[in-house]
Amino acid sequence: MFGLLKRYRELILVALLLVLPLGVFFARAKRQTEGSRLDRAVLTFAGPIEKGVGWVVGGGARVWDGYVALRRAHEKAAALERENEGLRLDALELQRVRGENERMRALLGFAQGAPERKVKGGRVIGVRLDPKGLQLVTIDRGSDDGLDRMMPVVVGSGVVGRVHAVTPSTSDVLLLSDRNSSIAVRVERSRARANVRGTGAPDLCRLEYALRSDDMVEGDLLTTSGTDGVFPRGLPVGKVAGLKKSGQGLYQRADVKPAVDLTKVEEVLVITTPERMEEEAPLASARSEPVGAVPARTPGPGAPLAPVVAKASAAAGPTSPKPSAPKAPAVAKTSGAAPAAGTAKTPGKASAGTAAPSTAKSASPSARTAMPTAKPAAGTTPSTAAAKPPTATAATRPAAGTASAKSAAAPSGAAARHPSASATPISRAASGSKGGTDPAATPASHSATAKPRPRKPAATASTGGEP
Amino acid sequence: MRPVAAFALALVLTAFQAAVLRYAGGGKVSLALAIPIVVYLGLHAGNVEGALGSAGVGYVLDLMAGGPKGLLTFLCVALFLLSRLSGAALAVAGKSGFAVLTAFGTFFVGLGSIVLTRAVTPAETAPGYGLLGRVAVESVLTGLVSPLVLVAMRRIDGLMAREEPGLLR
Repeated sequence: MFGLLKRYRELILVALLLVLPLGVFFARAKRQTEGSRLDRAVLTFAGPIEKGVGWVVGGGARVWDGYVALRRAHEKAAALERENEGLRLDALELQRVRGENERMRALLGFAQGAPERKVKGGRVIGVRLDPKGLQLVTIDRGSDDGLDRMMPVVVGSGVVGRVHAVTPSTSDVLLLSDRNSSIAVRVERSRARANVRGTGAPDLCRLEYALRSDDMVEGDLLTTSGTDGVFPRGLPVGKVAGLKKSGQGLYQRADVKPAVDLTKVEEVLVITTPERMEEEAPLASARSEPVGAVPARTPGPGAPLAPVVAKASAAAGPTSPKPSAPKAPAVAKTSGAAPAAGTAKTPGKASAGTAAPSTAKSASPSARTAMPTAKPAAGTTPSTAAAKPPTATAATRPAAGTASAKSAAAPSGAAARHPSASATPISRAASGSKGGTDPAATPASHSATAKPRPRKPAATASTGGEP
Repeated sequence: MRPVAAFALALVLTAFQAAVLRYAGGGKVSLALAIPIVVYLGLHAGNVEGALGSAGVGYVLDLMAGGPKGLLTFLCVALFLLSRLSGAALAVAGKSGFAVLTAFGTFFVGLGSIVLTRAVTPAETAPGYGLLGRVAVESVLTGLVSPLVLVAMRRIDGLMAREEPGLLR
């Protein structure tokens, strides 16, 4: 027996090695068991080996990627560089188109916001923001497209300016940052009124005629009040910055940061619909009746309408449609006298001193508008208005205009430029019915576009509004 | 020593294979680098040490495969016997012959694994014969790389070979 075993021991061993695993397999196939200690020990050895091999293979791969595979890296990098340049150009183009798209959307949104308002889109084709001259941009729309002077120019984010000069195919837009530009605004939060005047710097304007008692803080949004007859109501103009409230004086001063980055305007909308007076004051129509002869709007460049008349009459008081109205003195003192005072001395002080408290609010409109623009002009008789307060209201009449025509481009002064008085074109911005209600109703700038020749800063200075 | 060397080499090769396949295809294809060891043992080793070595390799494969214990051990010993028979019947010489035999051996192990597993596991968890395609690919790939294992085994054999002092020395 042992001899057999010894003789066939190898065969028996092989058979055992063959059968035993098979038996184990069949025995354990249906139920999985945990590995024995031996199994775990063997697997413990396998782990480091796998890690080591992984480290070697990974290191080899890194070596390959980092060195061997970089043999053609230079050429590849150059090709990628070129491709990158192309892609970058594409990205820039896309960015430009996206920006244009967004701007167009904003413009479209603005245009759709007021369907009754007709607008004409234009593209800026020239920029002349020369600090020595006017702040102008040229757009590719002109009179052939229905554009006219004094038409407001806006973008989706706010006011840009107004059309200053037109040619058949192009127009110059006077930006709101121009020193000759003045826009009647409201503080959106407190509804206080004021004017925004340009400073010549595209990123900075100045707030004017904001009463010291008006509620105003830095950061307040200023929107167009619509009372200047040029700009529709509610368009963002800018934000109050650098507010300075002094202990004395009638007005507070502040800087205004324009809502529109005027250096980056590319597409604009020109509002071609005449602005209607949305803020009808009580009896405003009645007040304008006496001067009903003045058209609401006179077409044609350089011939703006005369809101001034209505303003002046409104300033004269609701019950004083006529120059010799009984209430005239008190009101006239602030409205009509303001220009004169301004002519004679400092406008603010003069009016502050002369304006009766009771009329400060009601009459201050004209006072505000009148005083700043009240500059002595050659041949002016300042005392005319001052000495005869009623002449302020009489300024609504052509006859009075001669006396104060140059003394102020204020409502009364502008009124003096009624065609029948001085044959000067009347500002349409004033378009009476509304102008009379707004204290900040711009006498200057947009409303007082009396001069047909636009680029004469000297004249602008005197009129306070029209370059 | 040969069974121990086969066991150790099988352990290293399976670990290496697992690490390499992580980079090469991520498991789309598989290899059975331990099978050439069994074939080598069948061709060049004695009965006892060959059978022990094959059982050791099979044990390693069982551990690594995570399947039921004993299956691959049995199949490796069976492959050892087949290789031994093939080596006796055919003149398996050179690397190409070794590669072909290894490929067939790998397919045999794969097929046997599927058949036996199907025999003992429920139908719903039993491996399908559709896996034979993967087994075929594995066989081809293993056959292709088997000459490298052959070289390694020869080196190891050379390290362990004891020089017999001859009469002429």
